[in-house]
Amino acid sequence: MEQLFADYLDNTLSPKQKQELETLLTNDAALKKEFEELKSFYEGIPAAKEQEPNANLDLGFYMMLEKEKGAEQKRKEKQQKGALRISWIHSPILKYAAGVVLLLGIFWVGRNTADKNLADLEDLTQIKRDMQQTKELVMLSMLKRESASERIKAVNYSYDLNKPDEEVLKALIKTLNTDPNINVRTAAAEALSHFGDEKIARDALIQTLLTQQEPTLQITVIDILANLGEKRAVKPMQKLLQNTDTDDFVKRKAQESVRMLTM
Amino acid sequence: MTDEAAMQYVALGDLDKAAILYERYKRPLYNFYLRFGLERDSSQDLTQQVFYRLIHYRNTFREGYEFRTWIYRIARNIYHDFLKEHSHNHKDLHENIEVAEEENYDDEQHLLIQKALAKLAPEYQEVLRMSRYDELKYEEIADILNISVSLVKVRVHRGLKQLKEEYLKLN
Repeated sequence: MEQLFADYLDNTLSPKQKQELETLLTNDAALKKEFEELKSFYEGIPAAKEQEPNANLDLGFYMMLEKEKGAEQKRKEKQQKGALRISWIHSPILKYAAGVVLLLGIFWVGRNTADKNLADLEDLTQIKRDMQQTKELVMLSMLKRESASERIKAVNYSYDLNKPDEEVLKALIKTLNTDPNINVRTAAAEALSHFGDEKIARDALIQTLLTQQEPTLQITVIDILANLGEKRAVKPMQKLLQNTDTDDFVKRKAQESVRMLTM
Repeated sequence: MTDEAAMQYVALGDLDKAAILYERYKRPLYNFYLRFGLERDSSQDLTQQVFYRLIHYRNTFREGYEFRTWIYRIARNIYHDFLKEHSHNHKDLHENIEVAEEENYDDEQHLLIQKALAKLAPEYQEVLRMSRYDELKYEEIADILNISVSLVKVRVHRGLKQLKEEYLKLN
């Protein structure tokens, strides 16, 4: 009976069960009275009065979401870096580079055994320089690929360069400012932060602060500049604060960073 | 996009889809906590925690799960954690709940029903709130509470009888 009643309230009784319930109630007047009263009480329960949460809930959620997205992005980049190292082994350019290195290596060993007085260090430096140049060429060529994930790989590959030349830094800056994909631009911003000792990289990050429109990227750049202790970023951050179009959580981040940089 | 499809995307790392689920469920979950008699601030905090867990435990969402059941199970666990945290101060919590109910609902009859509900054993309160207000099906409630559907139905019937008695006493 209890289950039949619950199904009746939920309007899920089958015709057979309806018949069963009706028979039960017809044969028991007391039960019928109890059933009718309970049914009418249930139907009289006022509908739920829904209330709206206030704006703090939205603010808290979207800030948390941005933070998590940042963490997820870093995790993906780490994975891609690892994957790139593996896929690199199979790339034709690496095979060419490996050939060059092997030839240079043989040459070096030959000279080394033939004449111990030759300048070994100079040769080693030359090999390293060749490798660096090959890596830079590969990175620059990969940045032109159509696939965004390939371009992210290219950007991440810059982490393997000890001291990239100006051409590489300029390519990263161009990617930061013009790439159509937000994830590629974010990766470029983070790669540039890796070369924070270079003035050209810091200048680009400061300048991009006022041109980027995506809140995620704005937050990433603000974070980078604050961590670099770049006091010249205070003015563009203050401009962001004054701009009515700036998202609230970006403003909050900018406010924190301005405070940190002016302390 | 269904809730399940959005959650599958979130589980695969497309966190922007969590915003779709947030917009769909923030209000029902906030009211779920209010109806348990929590104050507005606490209800917002617990709602926020639900979405925090949704993102952090996104990998535990499997294909074939029903999202609504899954999120309400999270919401219920958070509510029970909250009760445990405040159990050392149970009397104060109970008083707070009464004050919160009056603050949250200005309709007199609704307030009386809420007061009567608060007097029931927790297992009856849960099923009645979920079926009547959250409009969850008995199967979904059974899944959330990890009990049989038959037991849910029995609790609905007995809970309703007791609710009526408590309501008449207050009225």
